[in-house]
Amino acid sequence: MSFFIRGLWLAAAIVFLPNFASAHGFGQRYDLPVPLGLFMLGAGASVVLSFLGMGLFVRKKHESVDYPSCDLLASPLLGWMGGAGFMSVIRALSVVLFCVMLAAGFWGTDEPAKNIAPTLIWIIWWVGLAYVCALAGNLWSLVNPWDITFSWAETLYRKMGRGGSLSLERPFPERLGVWPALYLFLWFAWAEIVWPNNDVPRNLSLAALGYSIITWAGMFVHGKKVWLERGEAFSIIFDVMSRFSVTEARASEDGRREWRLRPPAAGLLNTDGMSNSMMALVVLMLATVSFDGFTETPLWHILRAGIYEGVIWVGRDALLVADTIALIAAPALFLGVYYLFCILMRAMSGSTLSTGEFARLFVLSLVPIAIGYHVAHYFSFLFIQGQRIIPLLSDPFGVGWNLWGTAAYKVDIGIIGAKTTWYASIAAIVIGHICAVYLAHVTALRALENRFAAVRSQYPMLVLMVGYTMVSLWIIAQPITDG
Amino acid sequence: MQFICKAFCVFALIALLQVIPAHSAGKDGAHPGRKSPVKSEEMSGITLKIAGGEIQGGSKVVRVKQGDKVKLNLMADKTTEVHLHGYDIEKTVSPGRVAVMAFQARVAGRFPVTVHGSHSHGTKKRKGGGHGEKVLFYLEVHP
Repeated sequence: MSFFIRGLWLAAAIVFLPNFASAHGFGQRYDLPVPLGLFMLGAGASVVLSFLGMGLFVRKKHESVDYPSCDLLASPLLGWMGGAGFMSVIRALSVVLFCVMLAAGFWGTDEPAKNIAPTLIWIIWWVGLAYVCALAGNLWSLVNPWDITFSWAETLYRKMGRGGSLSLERPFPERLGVWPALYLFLWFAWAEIVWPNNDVPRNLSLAALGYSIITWAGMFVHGKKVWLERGEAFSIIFDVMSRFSVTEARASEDGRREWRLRPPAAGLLNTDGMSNSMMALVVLMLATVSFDGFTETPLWHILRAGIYEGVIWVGRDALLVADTIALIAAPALFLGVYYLFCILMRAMSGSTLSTGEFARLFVLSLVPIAIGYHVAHYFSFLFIQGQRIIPLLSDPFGVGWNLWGTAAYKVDIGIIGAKTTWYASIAAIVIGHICAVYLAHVTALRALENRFAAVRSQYPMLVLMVGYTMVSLWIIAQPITDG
Repeated sequence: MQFICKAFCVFALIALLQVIPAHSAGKDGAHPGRKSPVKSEEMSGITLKIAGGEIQGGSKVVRVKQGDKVKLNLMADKTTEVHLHGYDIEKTVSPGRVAVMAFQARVAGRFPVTVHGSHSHGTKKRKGGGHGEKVLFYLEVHP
């Protein structure tokens, strides 16, 4: 019977779906699915290492979130690079690039591959910057063009001799948490995964301009700092990713700026001030990252056909509606599963903490799995399709310029071999998994009453993490389909 | 609560059902076509017929080994421009003539072969080119 239903769905998928392109992100991928042997190796390694980790990590209790670190800006070269002069050049370049992207979208060619906007946004910024933030440190906080332009406006306002500050500084309602950012990020995820015309330069520039207006307005009403922490979705998302990285920016006791080297993932141990909205935003991020990969698998095409059948009465836009439903359902499913495991953790540990407190405490420990998956999934894509930016920088509008002499550059598809990609992918996923298991253990030991409760709480968490890692491995072992 | 448990079980089951056949079929091509994919020993030439903008009969995946000299003999019922992505080779196939795409498969990967200018497939722009291109078949080069 179930075979029959599967067959029916498959038939529906074949009949209906070749007529529609899948529309996530932009750019083609030439990956081969990870072979079965490596898939099993990764799966086995993550299970075995989980149990090894159980034995190793539960020994000592970490009372505080302190970890060793050293200031990189103390070295002469990095100190000079971190200085005001060099930084203002980088910040100015970032704004110039942002303006070029907007202009290219509006006045450049409408061919996605020949216009800088789609490649810059989807490959370099969204995929590439996530790599940099997750591995090296929060670059976005330095080059955020909305932050920079608003600072410039504030400086100009002060120089013009007006009193007070440019923004209205209206107090931001505490109960709103980071919901504005979550709402905006949901729109972004829709644009990335569902929006059919998300590679059309003009659309991208319009969307970027719309988001810019919202961001500037938010900064104007509530103040720049408040909006960056509450409403600017990418500042929050890249900040969460950069908690995994090996560096962090902070102010020293005497107020100097510091850029400290620290152990990887240490930033994820700090769960202070984690609100429900922040927890929801992190889950949304995890879900959309996985869902984006899931939309390239054959199983998705079957499910999609099923949902499409259900909403076919909508008419012409039925597929859009089906995709949107799935995009909303994915985070809801993630949240439901996560909450279920939080209930189990609470029950197993016999803790007096509420389920909600469990959910807020442990959500950041899942981030390394998402990062491992993101690195694995986009490895060859970033290094192969990312090369497109080289010719595009010389001819951003696609009108035949050759500003830097690189316009004729051809993408080298052999820069990374299939085997390198496979090994790197499996390694990234397994390392992410180990970090996640470690973080959850340390958090449990710190937050729960005793060692016994902490260990007991980690059995369900381990099941959840192994499951989540398996989903990641499964996705990269699937043949990528195109619709 | 019970509902969530059930939903979770159903999801897990679907995922499991998918993993097993996908991997057991893994040895002879990810797309279980009727014809088993072309083996690398037969590299003297793979003949592919395009009719009505689609590949006739066979599987949608052509598998070769990295380093092989690949020769694709393409035939079509009407003049068609065919593009092998990645390797970036374009050929115009005219009716009654065999167009040969010959190259060494030096880079591993899964490369789509598309028909240029086939706007028949909806008004939506496709990712990675915006040509409204349709995939004829995939060339898989395995290491």
